[in-house]
Amino acid sequence: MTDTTPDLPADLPADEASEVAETGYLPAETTADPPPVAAVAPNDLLPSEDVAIDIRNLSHRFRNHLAVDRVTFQVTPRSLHGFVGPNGAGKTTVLKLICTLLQPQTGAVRVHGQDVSRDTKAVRRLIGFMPDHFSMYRQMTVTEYLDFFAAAYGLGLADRRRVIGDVLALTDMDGRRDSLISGLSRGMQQRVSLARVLVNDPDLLLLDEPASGLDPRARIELMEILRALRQMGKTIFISSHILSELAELCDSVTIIDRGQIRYSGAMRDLLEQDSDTTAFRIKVPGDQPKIENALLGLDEVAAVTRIEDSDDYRIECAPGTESANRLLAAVLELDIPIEGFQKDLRHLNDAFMDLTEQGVR
Amino acid sequence: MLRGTMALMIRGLRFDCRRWQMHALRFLLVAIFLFILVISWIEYVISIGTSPGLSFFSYITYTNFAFITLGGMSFFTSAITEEKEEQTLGLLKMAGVNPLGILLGKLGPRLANALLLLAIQFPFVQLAVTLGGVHHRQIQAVYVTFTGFIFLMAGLGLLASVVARRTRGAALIVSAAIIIPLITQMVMAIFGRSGSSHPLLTEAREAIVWISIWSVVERLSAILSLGFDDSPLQLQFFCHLGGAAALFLTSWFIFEPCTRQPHTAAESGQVSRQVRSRIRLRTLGLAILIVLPMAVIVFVAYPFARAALIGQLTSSVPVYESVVAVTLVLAVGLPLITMLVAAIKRQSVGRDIGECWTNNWSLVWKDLHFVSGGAVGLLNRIILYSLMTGVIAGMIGFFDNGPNNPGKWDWSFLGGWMLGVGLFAGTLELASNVGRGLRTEVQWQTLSTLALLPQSIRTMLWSKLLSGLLALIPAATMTLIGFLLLFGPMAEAFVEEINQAGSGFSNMIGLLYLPMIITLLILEILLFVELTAFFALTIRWGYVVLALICTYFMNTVGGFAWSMFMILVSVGRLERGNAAAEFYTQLMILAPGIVAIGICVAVLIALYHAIESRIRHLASQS
Repeated sequence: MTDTTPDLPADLPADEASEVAETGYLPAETTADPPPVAAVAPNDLLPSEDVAIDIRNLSHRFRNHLAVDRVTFQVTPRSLHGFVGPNGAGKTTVLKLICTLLQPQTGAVRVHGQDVSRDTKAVRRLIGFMPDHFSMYRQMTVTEYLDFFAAAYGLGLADRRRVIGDVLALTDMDGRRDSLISGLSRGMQQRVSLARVLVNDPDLLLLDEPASGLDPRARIELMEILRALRQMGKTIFISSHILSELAELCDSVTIIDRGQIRYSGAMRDLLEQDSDTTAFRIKVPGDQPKIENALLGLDEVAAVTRIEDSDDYRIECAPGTESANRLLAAVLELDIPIEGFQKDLRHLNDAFMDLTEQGVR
Repeated sequence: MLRGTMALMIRGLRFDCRRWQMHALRFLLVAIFLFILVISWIEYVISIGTSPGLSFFSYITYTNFAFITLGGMSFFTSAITEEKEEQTLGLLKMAGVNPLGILLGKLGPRLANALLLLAIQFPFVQLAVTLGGVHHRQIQAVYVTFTGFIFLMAGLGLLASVVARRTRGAALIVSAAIIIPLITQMVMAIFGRSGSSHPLLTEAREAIVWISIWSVVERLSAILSLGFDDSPLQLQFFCHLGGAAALFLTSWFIFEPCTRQPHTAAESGQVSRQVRSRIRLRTLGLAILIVLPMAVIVFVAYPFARAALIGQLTSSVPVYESVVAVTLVLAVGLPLITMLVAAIKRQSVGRDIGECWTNNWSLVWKDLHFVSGGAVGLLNRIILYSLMTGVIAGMIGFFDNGPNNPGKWDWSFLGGWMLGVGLFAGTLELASNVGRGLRTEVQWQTLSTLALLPQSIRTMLWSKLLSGLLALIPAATMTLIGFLLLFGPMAEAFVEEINQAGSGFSNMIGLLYLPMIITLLILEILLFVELTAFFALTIRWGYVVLALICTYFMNTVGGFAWSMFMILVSVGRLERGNAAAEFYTQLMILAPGIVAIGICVAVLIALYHAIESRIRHLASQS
C-alpha cells in the first residue's frame, strides 16, 4: 500500500496540514487560480485607527505553499465578526498573523492602529486569543489556572480576586472553581479557556472554532456568553464552521477560500446580495393552490413556489415595503389562516456555497 | 490476533522509518564508530596501545553497552505508555487486538530496530581481527551477550511500560532496576577493597554473587581478557533470555488490570485526591524550621541517649550512628511534622487566588508547582537525599571504620560521597525538570498561549531554569554539605600545591588547572541541560538519555583531543629549567582547556538560540 499523502510544508499550521493530509488533495499554488473577488474596495476602507482589525494586502507563504494571498479586510470595533472558509482556506493562518504568533511576510496587520510586526507587545495586551484546541494545564484547578494567567499579566492581588470572580461568574464556572481542569467536561474546559482569555480584559477576542466539539446546550450557552461580551463592548472575531449560528450571531462576516477573501462586509448584505428581488416566505396550513393564483395576479410578484416538504410558499417580488403589505392583504382576502410571514433571507450556507469552490486545495 | 499484531508492527516500523530522529541516532552511532577507529589508530601510532584491534573492539563494546543500557531506559519503556498517553490503547482493544497482540506488535518493531542496529555492526567489527589482538570467538561472544542483554532490556522496558502510566514513570522504573544492582555491586566492590573482614560484609559479598551471573560488565571484561576461549553461549545469555521471557509473560499477565481505563477526576469527585494532598510551600518551610533544631538536638544528644539505653561509654559511640540518626529524623520526622502543621493550619482545598507569584515569577511558580512537584516534590526529595546520606554514612561507618574503630571516622570521606552523589543527582534532576517543563508545554499545546503573554520567550526559558534550580534545593544542600566537609582537605591540598609551585609565574599557571576544570564542569552541566531542553522540544521521549549520550560523546572527543595534545607537548620535551620554555609548556597544556571552554560557550550560545527559535516555531504551530 502506498502512502498518497502529499508532502506538506513543515511550518504549515497543524490543523490545516492535517485537513489537507486527510483529504489527500495536493496543495496548489493559488496564483494559478482566478483572481480574487474584489471583496473590499480600497476606497471603502476606514482609517486604521477607527477599526479593531485592519488587514491590508496580507500574504503569507509556507515554503512553496501560499496560505494567504493578498488578503484585505477590516473589522469594526464592538462588533461580532464571523470568519468562515473551507478546511485549509487559511483561516487559522490569518488568526495567527493577527495575534502575532506568525509574522506577516507581506502586507500589514493592525490591531486598533498598532502594527503587529512593530508593536507586538502592545498588540498582545489588546488581544485575547483562544486557539481551536484546549491549551490548558490539566493538573491545575480552575482557580489556579486563572490566577496564573492573571499574575503573568501583572495584576495585583485585589485586581486578581475581582477579575477572576467576574470571569468565573460570566462563564458560569463559579461552582467549579476548585475542580481540576482534567476533570471538567469539554464544554466546561471551553468556558475556562474563555475565562482565561478575559482575565487581562482585552478589547479584541480572537476565537478559533470555539464551538467545535461542544454539545448543543454548551454551544448555545457559549453563544449567549459571546452576546454578553459584545454588549460589554468587546470586539469578537470568531472563526467557525457552524454557519447557522454565525448568521444569527454576527454583525459582519468574512469568507475566505484558498487564501483569498471572497466576501467581507455586513452579514445582512451578504444574505441579501445577488438579487434584484425581495423574497418573502408565508406559512399556511396544508396545500393551498389558490394562493399561487392570487399572488401571481399581483404586478410586483415575479414568482411563487411551494417549498418542498413544508407548508411554506416562497414569493419573489419587487423590492420595497409596500410589496409586503400588498402581499399580506392579498392573502388575507383569500381567508386562509396565516401561520407565519417573514422576509426570506438567503442562508449563510447558500452564500458560502456560492462563494467558495469545491474541494480542499 | 496475527493480523492486529502485524498491523501494529508494520505501523511501528513505518513510523520509525519516517522519523528523522531514528536516522540521526544511527548516524551518531556510525560517527562514534569512526571516531573510535581513529582513536585506536592514533593510539597505535603513538605507541600507547599495543594491539589496535583489541583497543578498537573494547571501545566499541563499551559504547554498545552504554547505548543499550541508555536505550533500554527510553526506547523500550515507551512501548505501551505512548498509547496510554495518547489515549489510543482503548481503541486498539476495541479494534479486537488482544493483549498479547498489542504487546508483540508494540515491542516487535523496537526489538527489531535494536537487533538490526547490533547486526549491522557485526561485519564492521571484524576489522578488529585484521587489526590484531582479537579473536573471532571474542566478537561472537560479545554480540551474543548483547543479544541477550537487549532481550532483557526489552522485557524490562515492556513490563515497566505496562505498569507505569507515563513514559517517564516507566523510564524511572527501568533506571532503578538497572542502577540499583550496579550501585550495589560497585559499593560492595569499593568496601570490599577496604580490607574489612566484617562478617556482615562477607555474607553480603556472598549474597550478591548472583548479580555477577547477570552482570554484563563482568561478562564483557571476561570476554575481552587475554586468552578467552569459552563458548559464546554462557549462563549469562540464557539467564537474560529466561529473564526476558519471564518479564514478557508477567507483562501479559498484568496487562489487563494495569491498562483499565482510569477513573477521571470528575468521576472520583469534584475535587480529586491529587488536589487534597497538595501542601503549601510555607507549610513545608515551617515544618523544616521545626525539624532542623530537632535534628541538631538528636546529633548532640544521641551518644548520651545511646549510653543511657545500652550502657556503653559515650566516647566510644561511633559518629556515623549519630549521622544516620539525624538523617532518619529528617526522612521520617519531616513528613510527619509537615502533615501535623498542615492539619493544624487546616489549609483550604486547592490554592487560593493570589498564591501565584506575580509577573515573570508566575512562570517560575507554575513550573515549580506543576512540573517539579511543588512542596510535595521538595519533601520527597528531602526524604530521598536524607536516606541516601544515611545509607552512605552507615556503609562508611559500618564497613570501613567499623564499630570497633570509631576514632577512624573521616568526615571528608562522607563529604566526597555527598558531593559526588549530590552533584550527579542534581544535574540529572535539573535537566529532567527543564526538559519536562518544555515537553509538557508541547504535549499540552500551551506554547501558543504562553507566547502571547507579556513575557518574552527568553524570560520563559530562564523561568524554566530557575524553577528547576529551586526544585534542586535538597540536592544542592547535600552537595553543599559535602563540599563543606571536603573543604578542609581540599584547601590544604591547594595550599600545598601553591607552596610547591614556588614563586615562578610559569608554575603559578599550573594552579589555573583547578578553576579551569571547575569552569568546564559547570559549562558541561549547562550544556547537558540545554541539550535536554532542545531534545525535549524535538523528540517525544528519551530526550534526557539522548542528551546524556551527546554530552558523553562530546566529552570523550574533547577529553581525547586534550590528552592527545598533552602527549604531543610532552613528546616535544621542552627543556626544563629554562623559565621561558617551562612557561610555554604550561601555556600549551592550558591551551586546550581554554579552547574547550571557548567551544562550550559557543555551543551554549548556539543552542540557546536554537531552543528559542524552536519554541517560536512550535508556538506558531500549536
